[in-house]
Amino acid sequence: MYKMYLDGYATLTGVATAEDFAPYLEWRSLRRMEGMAKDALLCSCRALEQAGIDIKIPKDMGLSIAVGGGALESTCKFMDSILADGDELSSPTAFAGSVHNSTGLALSLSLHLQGPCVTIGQFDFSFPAALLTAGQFLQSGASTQALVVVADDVNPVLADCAPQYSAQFQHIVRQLSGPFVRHSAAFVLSAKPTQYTQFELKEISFSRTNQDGKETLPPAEKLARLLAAGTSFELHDLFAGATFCLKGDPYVKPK
Amino acid sequence: MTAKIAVAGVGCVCACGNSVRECFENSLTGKARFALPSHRVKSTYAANYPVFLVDDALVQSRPQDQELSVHYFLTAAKEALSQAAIPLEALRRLRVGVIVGTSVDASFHCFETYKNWKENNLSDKDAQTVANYLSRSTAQTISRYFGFTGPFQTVVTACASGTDAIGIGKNWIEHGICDAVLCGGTDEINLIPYDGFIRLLIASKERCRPFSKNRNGINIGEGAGALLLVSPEVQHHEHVSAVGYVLGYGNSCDAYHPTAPDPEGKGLQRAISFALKEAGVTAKDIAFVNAHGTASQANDAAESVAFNKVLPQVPVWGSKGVTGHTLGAAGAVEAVLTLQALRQQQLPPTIGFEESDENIGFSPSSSTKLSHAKIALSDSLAFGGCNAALVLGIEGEHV
Amino acid sequence: MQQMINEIKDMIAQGIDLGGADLSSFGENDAIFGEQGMGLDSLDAVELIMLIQKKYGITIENMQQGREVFKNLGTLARYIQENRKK
Repeated sequence: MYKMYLDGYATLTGVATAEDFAPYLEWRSLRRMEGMAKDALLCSCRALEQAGIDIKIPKDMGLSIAVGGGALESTCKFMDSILADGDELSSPTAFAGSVHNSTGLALSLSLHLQGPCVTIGQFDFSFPAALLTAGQFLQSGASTQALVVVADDVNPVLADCAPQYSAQFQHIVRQLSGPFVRHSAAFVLSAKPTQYTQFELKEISFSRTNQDGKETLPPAEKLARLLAAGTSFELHDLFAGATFCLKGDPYVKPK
Repeated sequence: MTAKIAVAGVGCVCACGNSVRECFENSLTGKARFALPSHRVKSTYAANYPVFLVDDALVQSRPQDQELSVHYFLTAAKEALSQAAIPLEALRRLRVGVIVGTSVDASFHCFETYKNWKENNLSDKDAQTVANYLSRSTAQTISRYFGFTGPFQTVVTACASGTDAIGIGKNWIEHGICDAVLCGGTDEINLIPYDGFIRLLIASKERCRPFSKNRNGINIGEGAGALLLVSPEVQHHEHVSAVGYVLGYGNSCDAYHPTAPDPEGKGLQRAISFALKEAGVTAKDIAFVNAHGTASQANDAAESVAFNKVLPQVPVWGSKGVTGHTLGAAGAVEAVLTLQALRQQQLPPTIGFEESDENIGFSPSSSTKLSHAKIALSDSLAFGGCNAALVLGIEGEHV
Repeated sequence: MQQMINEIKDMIAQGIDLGGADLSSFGENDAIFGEQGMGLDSLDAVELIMLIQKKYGITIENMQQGREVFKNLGTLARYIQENRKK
């Protein structure tokens, strides 16, 4: 199984602002960018800063992106434009933004990432799969570092449906209040320890089971809380027919 | 030397057939279901922009509670598993991962439900549609269907998804995460990408003309490609006659533009170079390349720059003139067709090509008998500038 | 001409996300595309084609046709004045 070293991480609940970006990027350069992509980009800037990586220089860092519902803001905008003006006057820009890997594009453009890039879209279990993909980049030698990003947005239809039809949604929505807040995260992982390494991640496992447990927090958020505690951890997540396990220890620099 | 990851079985459904054999035979002649999609898509464009469609009988045979993309993939997967001839009970005892590339099946494409919500007219049926959408991860659904218990991953890197799924599957086995991986891609005709590509002025009202001087855009397609990859141990233990091998995989970003590829194809060059290096071969060993070849001005131009640089003189085959652009399925459909071309030692023509473009710098394939061809390359370029490449081979001196 | 140019600038400002750029100083001879001009790119170009169709009823079929028309604000203003259906 993959062993990786965590050099930086950041999370964001809510919406990234121009002021948040001031230390990193010109707000104008983020024009046309999906809201959740901006959130993910901000987390990435903060995580990369922690990891001692200059966001302005081209690098072949791998990019492994976990999306939940995908680029919902643009998808809804595109559907709105079809409903308002018809197929022949619908917005091409909204369609371009609605493609699932538009977050990947935004990050690769703004952070000058020219390494491998994969986007995974399977709701809660995108993050475990994205961690595996980062491990795969590092072990195959496609890159020596990887940025794992979680990006999600509120689905406005779900926000209305789920409270109204709660019985149909209980087994698939972690908390009825959970998906109605925008959330993103970024983790910088390296194949070998660096001077910035905070944690050693090991024993990632992820599989499909017939057991159906219920957890209340999505795995990326759980991991961020465990990392913040600063001690050795074992993360177990069991939800909707899948299990995920990750162990980690604070990294101790050899003397 | 790393042991080779074998392809134990392949399956394919698309506009030119319901099986690998049928798809390949029709890729030689250009026979495909190319029609206006008025009965499949409710768009004012449906009277003018034709697409490549899966056989209606296959569409109609979809089980009621199953998404069409899942139905396509299961059809292709069953063909692959049947060819592999490994009993399902035996597979279930192994660590079998599932990786599927898609775009429509993973997106919130529930247009009618969205419309009802906007009109304050949500019904029980709409709520169920949203619940189904949330429950639906293509790869998890496939994994559950076959009773596999390994990791699962739904890749949504747009048009490179199918290629990525196969490359990642190969790595999962090499890295000891799985004993076997069912992988590939699937996509179905849907209003959102259908309208979207037309609105970006990338789609054509005529049959596409890959690498042609007079090319004027893509035709959307649909379908699925599936491959069962196995470790050398499984290949040996289960007496698998390999269809072929996945020898190398590369993936690289352009970091150039939201919708247009880097005109110099630098990301694609890196992806191809890495795949060749991983496979331990050079351009001279590549019998042909199955190109992404969408027939958009920008794609074919950028791809040709990359080919001229890193695959000079390698014959180029564009197959989208007979399959259409199957989006998330494209890389997988094309990988399957590439392997079949090697197995049959026959390079199909690039259907739709009409006139050479001096800026492209080559004419793509005409029908050619291959001789001792063992290795080929298949590449994909995605919206957002992701490039992916696979080196595929059949038994021979390099394999 | 100046009125049409102002209309076009308003249409662009409302319909295309330019990150808050101020278009007031751009005039007849200023390029619409590229960093030396108003800063639009090829994706903005297809959006602009849609906005023109919506506001003026003019259909631009492809980017080749668009290239000449979109050279600068003046060429676009004249094209709209000559071809508008609304």
